[in-house]
Amino acid sequence: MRPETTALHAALRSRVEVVARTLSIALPPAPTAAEALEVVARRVAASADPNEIWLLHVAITGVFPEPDDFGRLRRALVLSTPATAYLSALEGAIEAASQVFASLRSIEVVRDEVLVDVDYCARWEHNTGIQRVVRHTVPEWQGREDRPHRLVAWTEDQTGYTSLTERQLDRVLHWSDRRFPKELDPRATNRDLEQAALLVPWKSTILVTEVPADGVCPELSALAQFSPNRVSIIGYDAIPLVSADTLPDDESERFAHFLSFAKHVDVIAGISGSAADEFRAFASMLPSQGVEPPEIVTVSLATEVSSSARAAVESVVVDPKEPPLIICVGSHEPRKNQEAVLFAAQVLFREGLDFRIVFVGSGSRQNTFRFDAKVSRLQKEGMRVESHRRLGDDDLWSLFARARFSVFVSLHEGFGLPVAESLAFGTPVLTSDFGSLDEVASVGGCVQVDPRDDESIVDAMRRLLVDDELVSGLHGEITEQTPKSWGEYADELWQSAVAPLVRTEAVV
Amino acid sequence: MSVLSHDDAKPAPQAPGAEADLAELREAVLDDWFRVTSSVTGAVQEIQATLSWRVTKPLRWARILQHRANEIGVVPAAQLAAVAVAKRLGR
Repeated sequence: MRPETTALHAALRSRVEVVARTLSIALPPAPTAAEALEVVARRVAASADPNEIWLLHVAITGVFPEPDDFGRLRRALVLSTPATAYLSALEGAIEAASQVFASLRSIEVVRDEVLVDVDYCARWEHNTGIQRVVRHTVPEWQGREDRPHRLVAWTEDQTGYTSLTERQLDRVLHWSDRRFPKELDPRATNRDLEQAALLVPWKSTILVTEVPADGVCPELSALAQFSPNRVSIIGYDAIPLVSADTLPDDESERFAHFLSFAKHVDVIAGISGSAADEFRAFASMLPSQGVEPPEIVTVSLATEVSSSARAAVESVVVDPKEPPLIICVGSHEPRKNQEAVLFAAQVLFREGLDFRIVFVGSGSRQNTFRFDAKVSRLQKEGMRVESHRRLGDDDLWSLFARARFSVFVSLHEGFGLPVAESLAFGTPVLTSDFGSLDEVASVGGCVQVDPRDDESIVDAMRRLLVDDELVSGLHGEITEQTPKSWGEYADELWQSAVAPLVRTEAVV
Repeated sequence: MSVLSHDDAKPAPQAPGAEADLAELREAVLDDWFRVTSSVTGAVQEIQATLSWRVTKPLRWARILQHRANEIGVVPAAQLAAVAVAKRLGR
């Protein structure tokens, strides 16, 4: 036997032995790969148990199956006889095994544990909405004996779970206090992928904290449907479908694939009542295709800002001679309605009001080009207006400290972190009067308008600029607020989306 | 017992010579299976190395890359797109 063939046999034998132990299947002493697979394939074919077929697929191929992969193996086994189960298992898995570099992989079955999927945050140096939620929440569970869990990411070819490297752990757990330089991981070679060590959940609970990448939705869908694991996800919003008119088409297409996985999970934890309502509506459609809908719960996000940010804001001394400052923070896209805010500012500038308005937020050139050109024109006319696409945290906090009020009149949000953060910084907010923004604003400190009504925005901004009593009242309402901490959010999320799915009472 | 039944999943008793033949056959099948799966995976690599593949690659990436670049910047977007394209080919 050639050395590479020997290695392939050894890797397969090792994976099948792991599965045999997991399923309590007795193997002959020191079996070859073929002998071990023969015994396990007969047993799995005899049981026709979807859970066992899912696991057998992982053992043979070294990858998590997609629904089609699972279906091929299941049908091959069901049609087999005891004498042909071995051949049918190989035949049923040959297509999946032929298309990936996974033949030398090892597997570790992770039984009765909690796995927290933090794939994107682990692998990428990007930190806006969803990533901020994950990087605030997951560290709250570290070192807690009552929150035992493993962090997992996907292999680079998106075919199975694997442990995080030290650098990846650093990206997730120490975002604001990094141990390693901020740089991307080197690309995995085919050899790296072929020899990866997979973590295979078995009777475990998986919390998917992000909107998963397109490429892993089929694997997650099969895992949720056919493996004995329980899956919960955080439901951020359904904006790509409900407000598809405000986003690029491929964003909606990707989200539809995500829903194909989401419909098979056990729990969806909406980040606001509004987000939960959207997923509840989606769940209500599922009985029409015979799918039992997930349980939908609401776990509203935290509203606190970090103590260092708050301290930085409190240390800023505002010069009373400066013109009043308005800030509008958020990624620049049609849904965020920055055009309406700029229009309102133009009207008030022409009325002769003295103020400065600053827009902060990145965006595609397609979305920002005309806006920034308009800002430049208005600057030449003498209007104090600025647009910043990249601004450091310190500069942003300084703006919040100096602002008379912030404006966030988005047309559709899953939560509305800019409103919560503004309030946490002590800055009144002009925001929308429906959906999740209405929820966040309900604590006080906000003026609310219909964001589709330009005149309402103009009127509200005028009042907030000239009416000191109004602003003072809003400050009073903010002073009485106690922002919800990330620790509280993490606790609620665990209790709502993890603990109910965990089998061992010790973890609950 | 029906031929298609799995009621008795244990291997039926075989004559010693037949058992040895079966074991040898199982090993041969597995060797062939590895040969086929490895050659197909290798073929994917070869396709990825062809001129036409390389020429059309930018076009295939363009749509994904454009959107991702808007979202997270050019460098991470390029890496994400590469992973997605490789997977679509590979799986």
